[in-house]
Amino acid sequence: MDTVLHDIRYALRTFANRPGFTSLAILTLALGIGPTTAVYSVVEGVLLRPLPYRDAGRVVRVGWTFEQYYESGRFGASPTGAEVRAWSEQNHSFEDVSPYWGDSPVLTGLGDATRLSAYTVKSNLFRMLGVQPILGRGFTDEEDRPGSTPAAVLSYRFWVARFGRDPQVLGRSITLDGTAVQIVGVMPVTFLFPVLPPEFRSEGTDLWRSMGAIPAAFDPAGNAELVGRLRPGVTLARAKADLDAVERAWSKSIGERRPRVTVPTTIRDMAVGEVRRPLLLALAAVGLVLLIACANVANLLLARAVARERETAIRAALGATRIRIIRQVLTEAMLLALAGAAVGVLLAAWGVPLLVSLASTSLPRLHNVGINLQVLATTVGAALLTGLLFGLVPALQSMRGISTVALKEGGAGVGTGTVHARAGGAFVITQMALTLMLLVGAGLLGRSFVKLMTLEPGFDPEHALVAQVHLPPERYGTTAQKLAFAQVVIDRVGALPGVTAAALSTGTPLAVGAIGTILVPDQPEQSEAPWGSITAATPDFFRALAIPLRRGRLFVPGDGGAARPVIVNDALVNTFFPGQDPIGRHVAFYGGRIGTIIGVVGNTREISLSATPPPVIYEPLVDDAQSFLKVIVRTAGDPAALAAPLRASLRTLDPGLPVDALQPMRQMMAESVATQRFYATLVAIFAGLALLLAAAGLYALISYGVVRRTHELGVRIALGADTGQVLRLVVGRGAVLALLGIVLGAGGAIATTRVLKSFLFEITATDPVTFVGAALGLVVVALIASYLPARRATRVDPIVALRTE
Amino acid sequence: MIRLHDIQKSFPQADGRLYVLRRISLDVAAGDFVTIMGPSGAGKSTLLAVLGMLDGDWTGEYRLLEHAVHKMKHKDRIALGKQYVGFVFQQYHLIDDLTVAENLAMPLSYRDVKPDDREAAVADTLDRFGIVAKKNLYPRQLSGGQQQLVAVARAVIHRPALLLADEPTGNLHSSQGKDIMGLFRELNAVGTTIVQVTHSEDNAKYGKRVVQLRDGWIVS
Repeated sequence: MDTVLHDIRYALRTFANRPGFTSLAILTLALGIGPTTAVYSVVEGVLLRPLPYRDAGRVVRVGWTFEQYYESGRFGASPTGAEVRAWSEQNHSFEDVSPYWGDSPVLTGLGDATRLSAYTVKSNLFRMLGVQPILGRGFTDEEDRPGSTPAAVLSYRFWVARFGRDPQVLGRSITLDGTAVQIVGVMPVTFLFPVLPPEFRSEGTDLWRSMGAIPAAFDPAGNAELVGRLRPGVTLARAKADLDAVERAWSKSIGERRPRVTVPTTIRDMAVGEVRRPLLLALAAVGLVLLIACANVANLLLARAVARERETAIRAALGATRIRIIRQVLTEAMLLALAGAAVGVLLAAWGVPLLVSLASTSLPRLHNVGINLQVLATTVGAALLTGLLFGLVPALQSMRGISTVALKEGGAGVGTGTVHARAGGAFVITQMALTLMLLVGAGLLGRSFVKLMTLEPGFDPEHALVAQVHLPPERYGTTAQKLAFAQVVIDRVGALPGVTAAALSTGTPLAVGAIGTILVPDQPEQSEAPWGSITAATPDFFRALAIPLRRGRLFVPGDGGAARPVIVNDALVNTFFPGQDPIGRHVAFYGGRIGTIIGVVGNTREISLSATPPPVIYEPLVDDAQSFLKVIVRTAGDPAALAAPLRASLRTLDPGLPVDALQPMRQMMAESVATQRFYATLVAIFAGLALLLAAAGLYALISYGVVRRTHELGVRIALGADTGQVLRLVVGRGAVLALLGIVLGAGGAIATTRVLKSFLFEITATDPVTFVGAALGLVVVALIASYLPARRATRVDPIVALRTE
Repeated sequence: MIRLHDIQKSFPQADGRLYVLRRISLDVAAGDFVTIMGPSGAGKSTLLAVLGMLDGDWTGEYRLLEHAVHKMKHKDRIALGKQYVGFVFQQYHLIDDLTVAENLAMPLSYRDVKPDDREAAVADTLDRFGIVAKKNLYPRQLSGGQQQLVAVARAVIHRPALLLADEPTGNLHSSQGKDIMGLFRELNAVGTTIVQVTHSEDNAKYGKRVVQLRDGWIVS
């Protein structure tokens, strides 16, 4: 123990005597450990932290899909109430199940009317999940019965935001969709239900309502959801087989011809299944940065070990054992690693909020993310491991000092310190290879993102503003009421200064309204009917979004009714009427509604920017007025400037009307690629950092080489080497190392970039432009990093060759 | 061949300038073998550096084969040195990582000699110096005398008109030293002009005349 303390004391004294070396090593490590800690804290909070349910691995959500889509599908569609009932009553795999229903009630009486995110749940849900309210109670069995007094349990977030943590909130009533609902409880801050996939970008549920007061909960034909807890020892596959048997019988009973299967998914997979792979890839990417930093520090320590060979030889001569000498070097490495980790954690503390804000629309569970004890412990563990990693080669190098060879080096010859040059070169080659892999990854993701951002979406997002209104059923129950409202909105909003067109619709590009099967009545039925998007819109919809008319005509006031005119897009024409004139032809949708095509418009990106435009049917709003309507406005100037007047205008029409999702179309586009932007930015940052570290590593190696070879360079100059020849000699070594690294890195990139395939858009994982661009970039940086010390080399005074050492 | 007139070299100091060469005027004829002697710090190596164009920071006039070195730009001086001058160092200064043959080839590569010609010159030199058997050895595998032999061979491989040697036998024992000096005499006999710096009276005897330096002055 005493000798260990001695080693530590000696190491600290050594560091204090070499502040430049010490701070450079610590900073380098911090640049590797900091980002790694930051990304790990995200991984820990998002992926590793258990969900806030008892034994969450057994909590499963069940959906369904057609058998043919099972492999390509993910979570399955929502079942009907009757289907849920069949699954609940006939399965043998779950110890408990609980149905629930999503809803968006409008809250009034507490400031502006607001649409809430609410779920109607059965009373057993909280018990089944193993979570109890922190205030008040959960629902009672009585509250499951039709006609019971409506009750609500608030989410912690909603309780804080709306009631300022007031414990007196219990027993108070709030008005949801015009109905008084009594608050009976508040859930813990960590409670989250349901867990939605990240693409839903859910901010969480505001409250849960008792099912007794919600008629939809008793509608066998209405949509429902089901969550259950598997019996101990029952696997997901067994549960699926069990539920599939029930589903087969049930679908047969309703006359379904296409085979259907169930899709049980653990809540964990629902929550993070989609982000697990990209997040782990991000962790791997930042891990490469850490490796590069380690290689840099290993090189620094190696240089020191070489410089200390004589000291080591003297120590050995005085009786130090090999173990003791190696331990001294490793102690220094560990201490450096811990100091690097300390500074790295500070960097991470600064970087985590940045990372969280960058990922705000791309990752779930971000509220869990932070530098906690678990993250700190992992960082310290990883730092010690990296200390061992980068200390090992220098430690072995120090053994060389024990031999008498050390005493001979620096004799009458002049050389490059072969052992260090080789080991250092190997480190730099590794760094270059890893950097190229990151550069290629960043290049692929970056180019994909640019392609996404520059693709033609089929509409003009500039000067377009979109808002969503939800027409409460108690005041807008009939189609006539909805259409009357729509007309007033068009008149009022259309008259706002700066508005050049105003329209209402049930969906917009990137926020598709309805999806359904599309058929052509006079064509034989396809076994796999194509699906498409169906949007009801007012006449100015196409003008407001600048969607071009290809042929036929657009809607005019008065269109609709029995004639059922529809407008379709190019994709639909190409699918059903290739090479034909579609005008006057018929399409069937919504299971039997038949429309006559009066016009064809261009394709628009409906689902996302990266998804191929599906067939789209537009019908007049008068034929399909929904409760959720999009208000689309085309503006002469900045659409963001019209957001407030638009909101105010809608409020004056109906103060009880919640207006949300109010944003310029351009912003909607940006949000639709937020995930791609997040990962592209992240990997670009890591690649930049890697490039910086690798360039610094090469610079340091070449600089050190120049210092060590000063004498040799002097001799060469004395023997006739001119500036160009010295430059070539020094830069050549850097270039050779870089090229070897590039060759290795290209191989590594080819082998690994395939994992990025699913993140790429209109670019292959082996895109030659990206590979060549990354390699050229790396060569240029390597040449610059080598050129700077090479210039110093050309200034070596040849007189040194005449002097004795 | 060499004509030095009033060569001075000095360094600034807090209390004026430190002169390491003072008013050096010296003529060396082609085929001469001059020995520069003097105590440590007399300016011998500095004078050698000036003669070999390694040091350009001096005043005065220096003509080498009628080239007015003092009027030349740095780049031209270097080119001139490359063309006419060869160096032998006290420390041999062979490159550790290069074989004997590669060490010999190095000055030729700096003079853009074509690879074939380079190879021929190396083979010829190895033969001439009797070190063919050593051509693939590294310097550390040679004795001190052998290393200096290679260093001399390297210095003359491009057939310089002027060979400058700084304590060429300083690190050798006497018999090896005699061999090297004998070699110098042979080179001089076939026309190479030699200027050597040495402390050794014995070595000085191989030359044709001695120049004594003291505190930067030529004293005899």
